[in-house]
Amino acid sequence: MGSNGSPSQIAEGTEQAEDRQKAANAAPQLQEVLRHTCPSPAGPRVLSTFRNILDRDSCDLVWVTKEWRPQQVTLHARTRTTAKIRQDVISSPKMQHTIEQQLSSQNEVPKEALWRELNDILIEMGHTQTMPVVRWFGYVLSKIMRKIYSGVFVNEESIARLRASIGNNPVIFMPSHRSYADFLLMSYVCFHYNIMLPVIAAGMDFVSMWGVGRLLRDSGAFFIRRSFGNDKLYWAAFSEYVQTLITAGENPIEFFVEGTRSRTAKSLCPKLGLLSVALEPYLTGQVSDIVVVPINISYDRTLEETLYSYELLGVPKPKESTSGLFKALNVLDEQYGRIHIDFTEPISVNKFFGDLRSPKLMRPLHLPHQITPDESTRIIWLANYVVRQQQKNAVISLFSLAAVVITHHVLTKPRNQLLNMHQLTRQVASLKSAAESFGALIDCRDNLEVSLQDALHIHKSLIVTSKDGQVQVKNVAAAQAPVDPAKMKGHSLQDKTLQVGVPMVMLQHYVNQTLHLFICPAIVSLSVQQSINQGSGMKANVFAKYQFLRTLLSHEFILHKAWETMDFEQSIQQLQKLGVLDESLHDSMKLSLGSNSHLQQILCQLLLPFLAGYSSACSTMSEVPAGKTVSLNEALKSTQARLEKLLLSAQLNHHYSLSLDLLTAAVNSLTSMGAVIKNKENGKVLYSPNSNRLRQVTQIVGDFLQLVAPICRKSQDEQARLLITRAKARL
Amino acid sequence: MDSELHGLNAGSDRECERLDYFDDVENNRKSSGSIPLKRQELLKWHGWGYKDTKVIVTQRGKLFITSNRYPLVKISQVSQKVREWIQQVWGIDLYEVENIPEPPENPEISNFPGPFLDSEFLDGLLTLQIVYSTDGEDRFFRSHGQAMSDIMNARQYQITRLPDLVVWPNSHEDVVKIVDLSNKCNIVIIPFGGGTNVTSAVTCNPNETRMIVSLDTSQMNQILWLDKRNLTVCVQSGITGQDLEEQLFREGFTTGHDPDSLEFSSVGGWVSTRASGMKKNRYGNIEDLVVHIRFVTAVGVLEKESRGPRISCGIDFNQIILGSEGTLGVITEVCLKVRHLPQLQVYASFVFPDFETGVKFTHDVAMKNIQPASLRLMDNMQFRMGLIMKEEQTFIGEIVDKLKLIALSAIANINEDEMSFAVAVFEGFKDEVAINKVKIEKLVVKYGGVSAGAKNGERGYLLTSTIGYMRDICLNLGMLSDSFETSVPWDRVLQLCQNVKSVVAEESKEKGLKHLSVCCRVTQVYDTGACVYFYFAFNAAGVVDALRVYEQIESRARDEAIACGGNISHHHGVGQKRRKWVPRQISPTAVGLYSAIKKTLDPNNVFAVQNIVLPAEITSSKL
Repeated sequence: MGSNGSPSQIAEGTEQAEDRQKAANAAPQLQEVLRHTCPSPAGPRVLSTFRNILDRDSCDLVWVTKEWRPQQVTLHARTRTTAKIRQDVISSPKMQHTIEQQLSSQNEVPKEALWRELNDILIEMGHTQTMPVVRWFGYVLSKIMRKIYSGVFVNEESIARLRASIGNNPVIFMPSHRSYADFLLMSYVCFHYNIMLPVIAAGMDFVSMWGVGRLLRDSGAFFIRRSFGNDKLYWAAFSEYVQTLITAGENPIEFFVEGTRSRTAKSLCPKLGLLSVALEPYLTGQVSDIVVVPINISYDRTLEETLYSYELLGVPKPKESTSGLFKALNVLDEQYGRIHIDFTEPISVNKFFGDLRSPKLMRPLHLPHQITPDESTRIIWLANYVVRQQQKNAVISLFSLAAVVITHHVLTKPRNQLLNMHQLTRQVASLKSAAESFGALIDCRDNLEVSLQDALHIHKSLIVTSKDGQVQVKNVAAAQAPVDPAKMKGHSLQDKTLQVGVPMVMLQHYVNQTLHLFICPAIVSLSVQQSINQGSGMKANVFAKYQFLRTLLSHEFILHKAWETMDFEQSIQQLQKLGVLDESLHDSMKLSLGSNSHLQQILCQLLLPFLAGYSSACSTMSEVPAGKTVSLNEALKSTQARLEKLLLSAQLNHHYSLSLDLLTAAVNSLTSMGAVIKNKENGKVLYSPNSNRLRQVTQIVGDFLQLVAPICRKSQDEQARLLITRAKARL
Repeated sequence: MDSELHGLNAGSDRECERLDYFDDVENNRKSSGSIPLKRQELLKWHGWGYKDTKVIVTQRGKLFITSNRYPLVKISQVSQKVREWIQQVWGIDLYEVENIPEPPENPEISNFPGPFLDSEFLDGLLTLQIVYSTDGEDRFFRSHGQAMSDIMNARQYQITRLPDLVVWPNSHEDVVKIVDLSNKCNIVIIPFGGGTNVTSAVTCNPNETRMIVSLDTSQMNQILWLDKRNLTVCVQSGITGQDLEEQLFREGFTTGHDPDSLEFSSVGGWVSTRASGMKKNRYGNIEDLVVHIRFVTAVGVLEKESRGPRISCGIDFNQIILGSEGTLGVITEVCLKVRHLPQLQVYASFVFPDFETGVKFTHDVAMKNIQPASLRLMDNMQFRMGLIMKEEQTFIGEIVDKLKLIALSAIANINEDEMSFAVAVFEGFKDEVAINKVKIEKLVVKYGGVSAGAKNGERGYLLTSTIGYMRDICLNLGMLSDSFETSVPWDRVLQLCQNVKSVVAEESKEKGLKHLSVCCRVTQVYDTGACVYFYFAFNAAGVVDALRVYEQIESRARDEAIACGGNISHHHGVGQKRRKWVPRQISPTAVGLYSAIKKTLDPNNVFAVQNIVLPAEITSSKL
């Protein structure tokens, strides 16, 4: 459920590079604040505090008809009807001012027309949470979930912590967003634990779905148009609607700070629009505090895995429709394993911000609040912190680790050398202990072998184990309808590219689930390797390389500038413990590689698809002649074409580089690094190279890519033969 | 030290030397004020108000008031419903509290540290023939105000520094001489009026090495003249509101200034703290009432040479006297506006469905500019607290009450657990009052409110004068409770109330408090905003360092009030309790300006009571 189309777009108007600079300036001060306010949870997280809420004493019918006495969110909360909320928005000073003083007089539109329009907007937007619908929906969901999931595990310690922090201040739930199921799950969990059901910001796409829009509305969703550009009335209505929900404090508000579902299973860079709007009542002193609760929802297997794969490669996403939904019901025949939900430590915005509010800066409430640079710095910080908290509280499935091992094997080993179950188990075990040392909680309830087999079983449509214990990737692409090249969002990839690409991208989806753990260590170990290759190995030299890679990948991963040094030091320590870096050296200013070269290789290899994609994006942009510009779409298309050529000629063998998300991030990253210049012409965004800077960046990226390029190269055809077993006939 | 008063005979029948009054209030104008030289003969040492007036809780929730001073029911009965509610919020069963430990009638003399005396100053006083005392009790009584923390400290004899001497001047001239003498002898003077401050505004600096003199103005309690043609009265600054109003009443006049502390607070205190009276809508706050002030500073007397109703002559220096809180000099005489007594005074009360509608109503009253003389709005919790003191119900009465409630919820859709309660006073000529009342009542209906009668209105106002006594019984019961106030523009009134309550609740939760109540009322309705009063109480049983916990929570609450558009205080002032907010509130430039004034008017720091700004900020100021 993508939430905030336009607010995020508006907020993104501020240059990200500039934002990061600001964040860096405020860093030490904020670190101080954080140390005092956001203590890390006491002990390490354990699986035993997670309880399966589908596994309950009462039958579903009794459960959904239980007495509903949720814990109140704020002291002064009073339940309002939909009409009353609408009335409150309409009669708010800000709305009155916007219509009477601004829009009407500026645009010479009659006020009555504006009031009517506002009313229509609010009807289109408004939620209509009704308990009977919620109960029945809950009943149906219970049945579906029992069928497709082997359990919905909720960290009950985190629920207790959440309960303790609810009661005095408005609450915002910010779950991670990997699937449509997130939205339903959250309300389901709240219902189970008698927590006031959240009101959820949802994308408009659902409204058109017959019945579904209504159902979601009744369960507490309100709908925001995906883009509303300069529509001041819509903007005012939307922000007032969100703010009245905050100030009245009757329900928690829920929205996805990532803005939309992450197709890649990696966290998306946080969007600031909706967050800023939601925090405004605090900044303007209308509420004393807001409690922000980041939530992690981890899926063993994502419902939309195949769809995402196609989408990332550029095959268009079908429009949400009810018939489409029914078609999608065949997902119900499959098994999707476990879900883990963890409500992370609630954040007091007041403490996080160190109370910046000042009556001196206060304007009458009918005027829009102007966010100060200080406030904006903190909002960016908070947004990044929220995402990082989501990541830290993930439960990693064994399959994700297996995906890392399998991908590594496929990319590096000769074609006749297949991976067997024994090797896989051994390698997953060692990766597991590495991941745990990076703070991960791995979902391994039994002994590793059994758990791993269970995990592989869930994904049997992607990974098969033959009788003789050979582990292979299955061709999922063949089962899909042929793709009309005209509908391709990017370059129209050849059929055989898709054949290998789709399963590889699907596999990468699960590799990505682990990347927040490995990204900093991977960057550090690659930096160390290159520094040593260049004859240095000095810490400062490594740090400079690390800094470059981090900046380069900051649109890909959550690498907030302010955490740069902290992450660096932490990664070095962890890598030393794991033997990837040598610990024994006496010179603390010099780094060198340790004995664990296998792990080092795996870590570096993780960066391959990204570096390859970024490198191609660099080349594409370099080829834009001086004085010419390209649109983002053109840039993506030609980069994909370039990458496909590389894949076909065996100069590259990781299909994830083709991902449009990855390539978009690459262009954005080059833009914030100053290698590419973004121009706006007639409302269109166009890009042109900044030759000198781009040449520099291209060179450095290329050097890094050289280091991680696999030892053993295979052409796409070879790879196809290696990967695909069952579907051979169709190839 | 001996407890005799020194120089008692000296000033007894001295004449007022001023001759420029038009109209003697009495032929023998020397009336005795109601506050005696020895305050302890009349007033409690361990709490608010008169010694003879206490609220006593007896078996099964009966409350007694031990004197006839207040026209309230003498015996009241806590109803079963109120009992259960109080049990829930405070964790106290009012039916089961008996033999509540109470502080002894008189303080333990042995607990007072001896005075530090400057012989040169004592000689000077004797020469001047001004009454003074070095008695421990006298000094102790003037070592604190009425803030809850002051009272708690007094009860536990935690006040480490007492004034070394109390002096009772009789006139402006006495004060001039005392200030001169102090300036010469390097003595500290702390002016003391009614002793009702709630900001620790008379607390002595424990590190003060000089002798500290408490200058008690209670014997400067005369009306010097009443000018009926020009509607002014000139009084000595020590006169209490009660004495002043009583004497004016006999002449058919009133100042209309009516703070809750009227019985004990003095005119000088009003001026030096920028006080506000509940009927300010009709009569104005103290700064509107003041026509002329005589102000004795260490470098001379500050006063205007004009009796005109207004003057444009550069900066109005009355404004540095108003709110000076004893740090710049002593106010000795004040000339105030008076009005004829109103032809009619009518109370009224209303209930509203909830606090929000009540606030909207008061806001609309301001928008339409139809404020009655006074208008107050209590939130639900405060309204219910008021029900603790309610007359015992007969069986029939109880049924009638129940019926009223049912009717309320049925007809007006108002329920007891949500409603807010407003009280009003109308004053003026009959027709004026009638018109005002009709306008108000119409507006009440517009906001879904219902009239609740004049009796309840009057009771509402009477209860405020007993709040001090209630605070004390709370202390006896182990509840720490106090009030704080702020003023805030209209568009933020409701949010400020909600935010402050949220913050108090959140902080209390963090501090592990189990039983607490926080309630508020809108007490002043300005055109541009309102004054909001909060009452916060918690059960201190088992709470370590409860007083500190209280102050931390109150401090957070005040931070929040300021952060969401309110300010440091509407009328209590700064004292030593709220200094930390001052620079932010008035700008560092203003602090510098204050420091410069302080250095100019009081070069030797005679008035060393450390109110308003922290001493360090004065020293560091560059102005």
